[in-house]
Amino acid sequence: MHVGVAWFLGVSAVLFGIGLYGVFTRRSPIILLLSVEIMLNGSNLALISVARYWGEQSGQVFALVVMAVAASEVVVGLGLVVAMARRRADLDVDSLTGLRN
Amino acid sequence: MSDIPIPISFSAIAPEIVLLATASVILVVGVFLPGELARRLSAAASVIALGAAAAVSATQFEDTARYAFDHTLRIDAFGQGGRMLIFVSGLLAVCVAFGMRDLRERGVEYHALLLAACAGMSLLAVANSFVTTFVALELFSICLYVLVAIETDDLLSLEGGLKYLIVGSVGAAFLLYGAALAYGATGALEFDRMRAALSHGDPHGVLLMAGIAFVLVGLGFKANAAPFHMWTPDAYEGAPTPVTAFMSAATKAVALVIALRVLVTAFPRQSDVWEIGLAGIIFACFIAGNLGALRQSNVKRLLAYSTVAHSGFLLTAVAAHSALGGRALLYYLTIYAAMNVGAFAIVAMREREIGRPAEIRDFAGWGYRRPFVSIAMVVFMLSLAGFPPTGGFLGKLYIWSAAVANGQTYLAIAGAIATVVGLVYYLRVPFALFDRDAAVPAAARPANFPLDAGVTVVTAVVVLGFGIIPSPLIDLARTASSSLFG
Repeated sequence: MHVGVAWFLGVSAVLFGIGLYGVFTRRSPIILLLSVEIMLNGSNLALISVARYWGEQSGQVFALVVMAVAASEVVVGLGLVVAMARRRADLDVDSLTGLRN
Repeated sequence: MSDIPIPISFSAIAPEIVLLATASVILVVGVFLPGELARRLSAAASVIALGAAAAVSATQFEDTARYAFDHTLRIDAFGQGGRMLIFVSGLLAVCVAFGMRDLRERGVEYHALLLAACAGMSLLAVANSFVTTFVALELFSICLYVLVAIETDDLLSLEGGLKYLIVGSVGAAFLLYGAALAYGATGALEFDRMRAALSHGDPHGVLLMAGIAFVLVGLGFKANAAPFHMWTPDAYEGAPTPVTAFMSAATKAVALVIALRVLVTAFPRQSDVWEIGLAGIIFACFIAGNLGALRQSNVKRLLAYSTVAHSGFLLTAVAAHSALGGRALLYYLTIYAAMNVGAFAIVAMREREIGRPAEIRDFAGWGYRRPFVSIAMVVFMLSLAGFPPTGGFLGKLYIWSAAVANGQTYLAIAGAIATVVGLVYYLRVPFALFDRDAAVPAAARPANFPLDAGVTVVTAVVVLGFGIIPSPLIDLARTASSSLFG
């Protein structure tokens, strides 16, 4: 059975949408970081499927690069979360209102 | 097997090599030295590295463009101009930070991260492929997330950093998804090859349109353009002021440079569509920036909303997508960087005197105690507001003439209205500084900030000098712009 590239792009769009929905609705910074990861992985799926479609390698290499970059981003994000948790126990972005007019 | 040509050009990435090597050395050597010595040495090393990087870019500032690393970089005068702007902003950020007590313990980390951020931005200024764009963007963004949160004892700094990280990552994800869709439509990731693939056939495929929209959104996040600006005031307020100064000048510059490069190199045939998208973003910037700034009492938040409104002006130059627009963009970016770094340097001075975030009322009567610095602040505010004879006035004029020449008079009119509204909040600062009724603030403990004062003098001279005699800067901008459009 042949599955066209459009299906892969559809799944990648769904993943991206799930991640975006999570960013807008969830409150815990850790879940927010997770949601961003889902968005990036949706993009990765799109890159890989398109690379396959064009018979090209650069998209695949790009996906590998994205994984490395995403990992370093999460490292910094988790570092900040840990630093905040040390100062105060609850982790909820709605309570992060020190910076408001 | 043996004859695969590897297109490596070290001269193309010489500034990045210098900066990243210095950053690594600073981090390693800093461990073995006592704190204060390490901080001073790392500051000196950073100044030398940034100066060297700027000098290398200046020597490569040529009319001719060349590709490096198999079309992933395009070394041209436009990119070199952007690079020099970034390096000088970084240099000034080192000078502004030098006297900051809060940053002393983390001096080594501050300088290393600043250099790495400059390297990322510098790479982004010459990027010619979505791979380089994404990697360079993330390189400088991750450094900035840490720089914003570098005062880990300060909850506000951490909060600003975390918010910036999450929103910035969403922006990067948008850019990446847009790149993937555009890759799907063209089969190439390099901008010039994308254009070649799009040179025939339907220029308005669904996949491509979605890709361009996502890329615009992603770059909008980085350029703090509305409606993707919500992180800006929090990150700007939470960050140590020298970091804010650097972010406002360099991040903005590089985001707009890459936006113009992507749009005119990869998608010139789709300009009718992205012009409309940009116009929407520009209107949103004017509205959100001005309305936000009107309600602020904290000076850093005021300037943060002012950068949102200024994204509208700068994107007007991008939307014009002509050699004239490119020239106006580079001219105004230079002036913009100078006035923002100068203004934030003065905010940093006042913050150090009072030991807490500066409100507008904290500047009341300050002009009578520190007249020279205050006059510089008045220059920056007048320039931000767009008064002649400052560079801010001429820059806006250049941008509007580019917009009118491209048939986008409505953008120029919107910009003029936004400028008038801007007077209301920009002029609050000069009025506070020379408020006759206010008690003149008492002299602060250490009243001497020679490096800061130097930064404000240099930036004020740039803002006023290029406002009165614009031709040297315009000539440079013309060379740079024609290397992109020529």
